[in-house]
Amino acid sequence: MVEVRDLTKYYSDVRIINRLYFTIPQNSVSGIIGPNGAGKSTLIKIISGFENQTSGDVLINNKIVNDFDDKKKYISYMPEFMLLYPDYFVKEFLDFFHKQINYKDDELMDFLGLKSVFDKKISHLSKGWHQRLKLYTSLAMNRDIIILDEPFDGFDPLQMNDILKIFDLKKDKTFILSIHQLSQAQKICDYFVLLDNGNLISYGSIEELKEKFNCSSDLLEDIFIKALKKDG
Amino acid sequence: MVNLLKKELKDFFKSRLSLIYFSLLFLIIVYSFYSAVDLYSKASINAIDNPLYATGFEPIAGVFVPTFGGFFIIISLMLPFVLVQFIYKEKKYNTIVLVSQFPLSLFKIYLVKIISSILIIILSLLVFSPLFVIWNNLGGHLVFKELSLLLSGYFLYSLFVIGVSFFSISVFKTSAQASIFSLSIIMFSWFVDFGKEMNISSIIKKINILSITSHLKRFEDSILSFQSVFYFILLFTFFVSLGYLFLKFSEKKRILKILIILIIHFILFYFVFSFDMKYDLSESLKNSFSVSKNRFLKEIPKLRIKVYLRPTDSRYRDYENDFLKKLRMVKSDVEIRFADEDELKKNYGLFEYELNGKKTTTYSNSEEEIFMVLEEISNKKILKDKEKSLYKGYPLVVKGKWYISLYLIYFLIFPLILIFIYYKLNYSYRRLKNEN
Repeated sequence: MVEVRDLTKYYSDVRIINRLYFTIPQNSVSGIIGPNGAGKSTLIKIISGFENQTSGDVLINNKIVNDFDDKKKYISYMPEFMLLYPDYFVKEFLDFFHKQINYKDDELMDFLGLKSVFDKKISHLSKGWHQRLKLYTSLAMNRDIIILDEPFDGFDPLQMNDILKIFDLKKDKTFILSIHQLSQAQKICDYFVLLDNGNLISYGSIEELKEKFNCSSDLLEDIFIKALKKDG
Repeated sequence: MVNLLKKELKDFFKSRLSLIYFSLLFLIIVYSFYSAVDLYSKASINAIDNPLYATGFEPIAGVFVPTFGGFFIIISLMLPFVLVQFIYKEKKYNTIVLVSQFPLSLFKIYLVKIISSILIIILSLLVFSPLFVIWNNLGGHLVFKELSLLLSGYFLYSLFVIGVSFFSISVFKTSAQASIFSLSIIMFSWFVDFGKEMNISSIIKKINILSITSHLKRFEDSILSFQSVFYFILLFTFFVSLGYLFLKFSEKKRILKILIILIIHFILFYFVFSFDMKYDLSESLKNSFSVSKNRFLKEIPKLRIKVYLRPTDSRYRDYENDFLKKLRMVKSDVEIRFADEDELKKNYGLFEYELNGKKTTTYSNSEEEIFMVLEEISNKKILKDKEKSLYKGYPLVVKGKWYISLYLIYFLIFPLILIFIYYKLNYSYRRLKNEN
């Protein structure tokens, strides 16, 4: 379980995150949703330890964990931008990676189809394949909480259907995703954290949000628009 | 850690930058060594039958210091560009996010990158080893302790370059910014040296004690100075620890920690510059007076010298090199003052010595004359040395095509090894493709 308690972040005098409180249940898939500049990336960087909050706490399993080295025992984080060693062949990179983490997830490698691109140089991979490799590195670290920033960029709709099964494969993990496509988010996530301009609009399951904002539509997009209007 | 170390070294050797770095190093080694040996050999022709002239022939100063001069250029001007890559690529591709999530702590990852850099420096110094064999085969003389000191000096100087490079790439975003910043720090030291020589300002003269090149010069002069050794080590730890603080994600109280590092290093620098222990490791004892003169100097109280010359005067330069340098080896507390313009007009060229309030003057800057003056005001006598200096000098005239082995090693064998490593590292995984 991940809990965010009174979390605030300032860059100089600019407030990016404003006193956020929410809880992400264990073994769930939660999406952090919001327009550009809502503070999604900053929030997940703070949760994963790559940024410091100005005030407030992040709790994991009811314990305050704010130090980066402590957080990385529980959390693996995949940033939106990361170009894995372009000069390496896929196999070469994975050999190095497995030695570093002392773990190899053959099932996951098979699921992602990585073995078929072993002989390819990473710089020659398409965006979708590179994204699979990135996903593998985050999931294979075998941490309880997996934070992914825009994990489905570069996948075509056909690939997407396959990739989404990954959440069934890793049911014992807690996923926190930052996704800008709301239709995708609705397909994947059990819970949603709605952000706007650094403020928490609401959080909960689609049913809870629908009821809260008195929305007749089942689409997350409609609920979100209604929530933004109500908040604004 | 070992796996990461292997990866770092592999990344270095599979990069084109390593090819350029070592190719330039081979080229500069051959050029510097060939020129130095050729010059030494030509100058030695007249010294072979002249024992007095021969005493001025020291292989370390005559051959190896000029050879390492080329290495100095390489590590000062090129090494920062090479070393910043260890962190720059991780930052550029954001793989630092992945690497920092490995079970190893970020500190250990940073340490591995520093160790890799140190190993590259050691390898660069090892590349010089065939020169010692060639020199030995030519009949040249080598003194192990002088050579070790010279290599240690360059190793310590390289540590400073590593520290500056890691600090700058941790602070700046691009490798160009980081490399230029590193070069600026290195060149600042050159500027201080130049400023001191040209007597530009009294401030530059005062901060000359911080000049990296003047500390390196001690190693080239075969002087083991603990001040210089610790100065280089402290510079390394200073820059490396600051670099780590800037690199670390979500570092709390960063400013406070920087302040603590600054304060700790300031105190340590103060201690390092408060005392010095120097040993003349040269075989010729060129940096020392005779045993009896040293004993005499140790027995006399604090010496004050007033110089009626401008610091840029060639007579003062000779005085500095022939007398003061040796004097400071024994009496580090000697006080040197320069006369003001009015005093200069009246007594230009005079040297005034003061011991316990007793003063005497002389126009001579010869060692013998100065010691006579010092005997006079100290009321002590210098005992005659029992042993005479045994240093006979090592002139060497080389004949024939001695440079063939030099060319063979540095233009054929070493480049082939380098290309083989580069090919092996870049194409070993390509075999997978062919097998499939």
